[in-house]
Amino acid sequence: MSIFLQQVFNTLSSASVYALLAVGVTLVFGLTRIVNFAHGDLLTVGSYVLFLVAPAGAIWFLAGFAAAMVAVAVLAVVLERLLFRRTLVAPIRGFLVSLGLIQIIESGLSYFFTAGPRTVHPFIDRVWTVGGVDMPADRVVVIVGTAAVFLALTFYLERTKAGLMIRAVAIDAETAGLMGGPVTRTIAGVFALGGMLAGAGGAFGALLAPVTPFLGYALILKGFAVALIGGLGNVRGAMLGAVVLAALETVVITFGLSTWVSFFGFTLMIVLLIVRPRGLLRGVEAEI
Amino acid sequence: MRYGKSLVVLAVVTVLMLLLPAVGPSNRVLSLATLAAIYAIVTYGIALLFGTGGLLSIAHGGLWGIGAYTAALFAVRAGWSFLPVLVLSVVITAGAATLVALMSLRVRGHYFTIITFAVAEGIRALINAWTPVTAGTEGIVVVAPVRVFGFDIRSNADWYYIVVVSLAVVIALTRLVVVSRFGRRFAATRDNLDLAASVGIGVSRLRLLAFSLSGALAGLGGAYWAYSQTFVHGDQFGAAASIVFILCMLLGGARYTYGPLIGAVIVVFMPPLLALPPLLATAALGVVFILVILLTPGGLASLPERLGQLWRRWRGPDPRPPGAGAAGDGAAAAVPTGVAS
Repeated sequence: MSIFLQQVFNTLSSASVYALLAVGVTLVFGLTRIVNFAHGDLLTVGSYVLFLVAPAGAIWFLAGFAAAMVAVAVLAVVLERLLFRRTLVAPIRGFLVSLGLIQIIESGLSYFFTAGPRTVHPFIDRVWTVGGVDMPADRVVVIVGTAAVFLALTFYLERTKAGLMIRAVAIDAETAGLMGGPVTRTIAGVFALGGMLAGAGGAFGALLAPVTPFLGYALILKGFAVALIGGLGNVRGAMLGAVVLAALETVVITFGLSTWVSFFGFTLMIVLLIVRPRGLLRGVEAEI
Repeated sequence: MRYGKSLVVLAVVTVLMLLLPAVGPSNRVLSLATLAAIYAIVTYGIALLFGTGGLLSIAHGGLWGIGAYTAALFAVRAGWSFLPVLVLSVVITAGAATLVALMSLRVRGHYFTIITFAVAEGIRALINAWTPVTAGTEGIVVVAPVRVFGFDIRSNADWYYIVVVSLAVVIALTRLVVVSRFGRRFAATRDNLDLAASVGIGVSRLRLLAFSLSGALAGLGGAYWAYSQTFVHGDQFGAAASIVFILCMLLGGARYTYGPLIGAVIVVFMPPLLALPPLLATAALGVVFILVILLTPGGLASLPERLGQLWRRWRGPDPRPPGAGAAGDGAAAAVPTGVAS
């Protein structure tokens, strides 16, 4: 039983990062239909902001975490204004632009920070054991922090006027514009929101595993797998999908097949897309 | 002789390409040129799907890995000779592409592209994980004697000749497919899939066939890659490779006869010409890529046409009736989106 609970705990900690990534992906897709593959790199940028601001210390981690969220949100808005805004008429161009961005961001990061892996351990050596489950403090911070971020996000999307506007544009941008809603500003806002989540994910991800400049590329595939499993455009679906993918990975690793992890991940994604193209919970897009 | 002029142009281009070793280039230039020709072969396959059918496939970066590994395994482990290996690589990759198409063509638009992305990365993951067959992350060194029609193929120049001749055949073949009845029907599925189906075009079989054909080209390019690079590794394949091919395609122009070739030459030769550190060269490629997408969606091959349009607009209204002077790929000003169906 304690082994099972241990696996649940491990699953939740990696699911947290996947969810922070995938919810950003799914929000941006829901409003713009842009498949932004550079979103994984936004997350890595967040990790590197954390390394710059807070190389050590638990208090400093909070500062680094906030800095990562702000910096990545600003970067995301700049990218939207400069590039993605021009591709809204043909979202596939936005996707292609993001492929170019991957190359720029990843080679830029490894040029300035070297290609080697980096880690931070602000909560080093502290492990709580509850009911036979080892809970390293780093991972507890990630899980609790992610839960807090998602509580705030749910409140924002469902209880505020700006959140209402985001949902309205996601359902029908044209009508929302005709009703006098600020559509372009909302889209920029959603890029900022996705950026904030990616910044948080980057900061948390750095606590879980070493970060390299090329991590974003591996991550974005998981991010899209998760978003697709949940249904593209569906925020709750993305949270669910993150748990599903993380659980699958935990199971595969438990059976000693760790070299096959990514293969099973992609297989799950392909099978699910074929059997249930709109994901477990319904996605936004009607064209299947 | 409807295609007489195009054939003459292709012959001239091919002869010019074949003359390159005669001007005494360095070994490095020659191997880069071979690489460009290999990239072009795969890119013509992707361009057939995207330019004509509006299908943006990322699977090809993985599919050409299947071609390369088939070649590596059968040439090294089984000791097969060159031509049978080449045919087998093409056939197996085309078969794999058919399977991929059966899965991915069930969904449309973004979902198609994302499935093909997962396929590309799935193939890379499979190569890296399936150690008993593929040697996993160690890769395979491809050293095998190659004889074609009684000639020993050893030098860089030999490989260059073989790949360029194949490329010329590929260019002719894809052009023929595009202008054929099959190609026109395939283009109809891009413009409006439901309408094409409703006028009696068997869209599923059509798109399946087109995907297999373009997969065959990926297999051919992959086999040449394995032989000419003498080393295959899982990480050479996957979505990252697809990005390079898509860059070649968009840079040159997916709908133009020589678009993929122009794109491949620029993508291969630009980084060494810029003489930047490798990382900055990659970043520069990304910048060029984004600029091309935003500024010339039709690719560089569309520039003469675009400039012509601007020139006519600047000169004032055209006295001729609209369309009288239009020829060739006149409708290619906008990039095919393929997602708005």
